[in-house]
Amino acid sequence: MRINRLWAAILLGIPLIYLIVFFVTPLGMVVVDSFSNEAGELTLANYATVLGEAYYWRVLGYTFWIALVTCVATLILGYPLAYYMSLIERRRTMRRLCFILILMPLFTSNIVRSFGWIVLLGREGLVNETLLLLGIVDRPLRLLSTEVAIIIGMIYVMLPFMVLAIASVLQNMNGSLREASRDLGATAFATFLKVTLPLSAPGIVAGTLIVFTLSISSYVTPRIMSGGRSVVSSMLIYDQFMLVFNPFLGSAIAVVLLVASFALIIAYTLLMERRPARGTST
Amino acid sequence: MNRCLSYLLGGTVLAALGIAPVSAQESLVVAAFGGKHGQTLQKCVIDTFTAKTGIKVTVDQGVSSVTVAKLKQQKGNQSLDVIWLDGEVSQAAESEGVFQDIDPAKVPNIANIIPEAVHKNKDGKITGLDDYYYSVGIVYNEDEVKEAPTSWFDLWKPEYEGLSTWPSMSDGSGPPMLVYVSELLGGGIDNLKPGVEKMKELEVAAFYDSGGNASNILSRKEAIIGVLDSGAVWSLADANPFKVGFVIPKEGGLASGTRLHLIKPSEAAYAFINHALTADAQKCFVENYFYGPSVKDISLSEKAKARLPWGPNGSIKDLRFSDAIAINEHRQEIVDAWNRDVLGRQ
Repeated sequence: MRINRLWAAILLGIPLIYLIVFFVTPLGMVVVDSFSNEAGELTLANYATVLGEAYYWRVLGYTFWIALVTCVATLILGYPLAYYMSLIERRRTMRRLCFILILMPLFTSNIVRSFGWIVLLGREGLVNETLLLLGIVDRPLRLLSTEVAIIIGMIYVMLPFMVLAIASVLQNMNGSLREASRDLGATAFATFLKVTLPLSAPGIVAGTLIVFTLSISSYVTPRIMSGGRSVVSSMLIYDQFMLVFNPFLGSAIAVVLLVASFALIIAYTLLMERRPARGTST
Repeated sequence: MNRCLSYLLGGTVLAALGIAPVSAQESLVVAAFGGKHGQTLQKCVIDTFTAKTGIKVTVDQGVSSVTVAKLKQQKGNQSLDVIWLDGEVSQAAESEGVFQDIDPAKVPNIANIIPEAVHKNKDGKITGLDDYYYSVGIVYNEDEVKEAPTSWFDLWKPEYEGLSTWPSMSDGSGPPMLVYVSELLGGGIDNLKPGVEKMKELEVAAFYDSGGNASNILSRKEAIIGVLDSGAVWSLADANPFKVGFVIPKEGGLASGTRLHLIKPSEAAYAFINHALTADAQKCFVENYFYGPSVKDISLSEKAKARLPWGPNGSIKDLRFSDAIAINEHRQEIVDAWNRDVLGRQ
């Protein structure tokens, strides 16, 4: 079936208009603001501040560090889950149950989920009470309002995205490839390493990209879990807009964050493309 | 509800008998606060006013900064007659020229309030009248803190390491507290360094973003001591998650007030302001919301007395008000110093 040009124009036009109105325009306004000052003049002063002071670079580095750790941790935790759901569990109902369980955290708001962690990790929370009861510690550990708390909270929020991205690739993998590998004498581990893992690379790339970008822009989880003791880029942006009423500096920080993220993501995808894992010829 | 009804009935009867001083057809639009604060104003000030005079009062609930924005927008054609504002916002809005001068002859109760409650502009005209005060002080968990704190700097004691809470820059008291600590250590709004250096040394459980957030942290016992305003403290105490202690430190509490302003002068508007400054209305409010009254010599219950922002035996002289105009002007430096130097220490 072929569609005529008018239909093609309409079908492409609707999302295009949506993107222009709700994405390009606001982004453009942010970019314009970032080059402006309160008097409405064009200036580079905002960028001089953001790029010239070591502090902003430190926060940017810290933001990327949190996102990187979250990414690696969700990959390590998420891959076996995705593997189990897609390749080991054969019963359909169990698979569905797994998907629902993985998706469940996404049904509630970020704020509620973060507060759940506070109940668990607090000074009189479940984890500390258990450790005290077992005599492992003699005074409550400080778990909340630390970098560890931020990362625990982030992993929890981001895990479903990683699992879903990898599972969708594993599910559609041609099973006879793995069988052939075993038939030819490879151990289960060698098969995983040489067949399954390389074939699932697109899922890993997609998952890490989603988790990384979402983590960089994440605001609620770091804010609640750090107890206001750490600063990531999104908080700086928020503070400039909402507390200091300086949208110009806030916009400049946002643009720098955006450009830096883009640069990292492009470098990452280029790296993954240039060095295709062995055995991935499609 | 029943009491409301009887006040209303009483008011109508009085009005019918011609006792009410102002004609009953009039109505007023008043901007007030939300939450329990607003409910208490409704019950103690607004409803009793309507009952007494028969004047209908429509309440426009909102945050002070939004109320000021409305006033600026409607300049020349105001919809509001009388407004309540937070002291800080009021101070900053003074220069906008939206407040009308208050003629003291038409508000006889001015004679009964403390002189600090009367705010005049450069020309000596009255533009605002405080009705209540509250203060930021030290809240603590009496079950765990054995010795009541006396100084702001008690929070730095080693036994409270990791167990205190302090306002972040998102909370209204965050910026003035940072300036205040700087002042106590020899700095000031132009030199935040001493305060920043001191704050770096404070190991908090968490910095809070709002009074509700702080109550949460204290209720969960993440923190056992902290800096919090008296209004939030007494709401917390009545929820009773632990035995709540509150002190105004010896250096002085960081106080603020709520202020009445006249926007559209009329007999009814003057009568309303005068009514808000009666001993009866203020006693009712203070017994229910535990702020400090501006009317002198109100006899209060022991509970309300113990909860006054200046303590049971103090006075407004024990409170210290921050310079809201200067803080607004230096907001960028204050927030940057906080993010960069206090939080950026790691």
